[in-house]
Amino acid sequence: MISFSHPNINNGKELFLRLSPTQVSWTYNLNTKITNTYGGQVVQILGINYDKLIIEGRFGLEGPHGMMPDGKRPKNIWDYSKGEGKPQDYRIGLTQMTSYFKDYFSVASQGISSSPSTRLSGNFNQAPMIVTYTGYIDPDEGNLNTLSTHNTKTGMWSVYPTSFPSYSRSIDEFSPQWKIEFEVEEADRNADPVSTISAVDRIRDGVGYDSSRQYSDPLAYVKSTDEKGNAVIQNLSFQVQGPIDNVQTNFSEFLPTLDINNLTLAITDDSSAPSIKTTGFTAHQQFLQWGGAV
Amino acid sequence: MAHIDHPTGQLFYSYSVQTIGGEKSVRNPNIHLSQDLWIKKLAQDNSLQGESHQSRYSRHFYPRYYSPGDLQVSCIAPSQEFYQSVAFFIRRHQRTISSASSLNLGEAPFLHLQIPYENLYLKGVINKILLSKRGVFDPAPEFSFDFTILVDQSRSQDFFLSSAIKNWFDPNFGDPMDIQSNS
Repeated sequence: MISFSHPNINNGKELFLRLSPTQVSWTYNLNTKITNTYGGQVVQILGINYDKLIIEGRFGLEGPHGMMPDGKRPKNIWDYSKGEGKPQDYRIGLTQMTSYFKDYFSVASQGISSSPSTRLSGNFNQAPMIVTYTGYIDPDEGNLNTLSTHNTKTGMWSVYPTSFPSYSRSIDEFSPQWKIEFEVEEADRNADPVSTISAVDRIRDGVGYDSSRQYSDPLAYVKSTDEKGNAVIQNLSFQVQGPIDNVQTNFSEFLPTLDINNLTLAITDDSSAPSIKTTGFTAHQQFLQWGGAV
Repeated sequence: MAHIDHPTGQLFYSYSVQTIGGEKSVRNPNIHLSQDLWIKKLAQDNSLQGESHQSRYSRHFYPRYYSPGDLQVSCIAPSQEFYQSVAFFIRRHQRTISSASSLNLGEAPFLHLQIPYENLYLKGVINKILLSKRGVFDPAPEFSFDFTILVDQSRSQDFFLSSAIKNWFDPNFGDPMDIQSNS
């Protein structure tokens, strides 16, 4: 089963297709800049992205649409907005699906307005569409929080549809096929652990001073407990971690020019160390409170 | 698709002709021309054009233009004569739209394509049709044309803003970037 939803189309109601997609594919890209020099080839690694997400599928049976064979136009059937918004809705076929994506293209390129006459050109709607699909896919790429039955996993992507090239109706096509291409705004989080959001969080952690942030002070250390409940101390910048008695030993690894006395002095008399908000102590005072010095 | 024992679609358009008779000019009632079609296949591509920009960990997409592709219509004709009449009908419409006094959406003699079985009610133009006569060697000729959609009346969403029609001689009044009106 696969569904699409957009906050500004059909009041955000999901468009369900009855059958799972037959193919889902995307490409991982590493952007590089290669420069040839006399000394050799320089490869600069710039960033990563996804190439197009492509989903293909079929309708086992086309939904009702248009005029009935007796010449009467069915009421409120052809339009996707009249659908029930349920997976079992047999009224959604290729015609309705095409209409849905045409409407998305209009909304994305012309913006939202209750009345066409008040809609202005130059307005764009950049809200992404949410695609959710269930299928027999690699467990590593399913979303564990939306576990489905029968060993299937559900993937959820935040995407921008860019191409719907498959509206085709023919007297010899009884099982319509569809294909959609998307630009990826954010992948399913299990397909991409280093997601946009986590990357932004990482940047945000490094902006501005806050003693609670791990990147604010290279010598900052925090106290916590290990699995057994023993007090431990760790410096996140240098990944120093262990029992309090060993902290000096660990710091000496990163400050090898200092002997043990000067190292102790550097830690305990670090007047530039920030105060820790929770206690009001400076860092070295906090260190002393924890019993970590001399 | 419906059975093909009767027409599955229809092309038609209307236009008015102003004739000069004596002292009064007489506006004829609309001339209505129509042409039945036996349609075998319909296909259309739709795409959204935009720009994408790369950051370190992601690539963002900014939608800009909706590009509705032409509706590709494949038909079969019951005879060579019918095939030729369709081609003639389309040619006649091309001459009419080329000499139309107004190309406003509500007034211009655009071609209507109606396919009720598919819930398609469209207005637009046909840019090209190939007439290839093979006489008795092709008793039921097949042909196709691309229908450029200007107005889609079967849509639940408004489509008018994305359509604009201009005469070849229009001076782009009101367009600050226009060369002709500023010169």
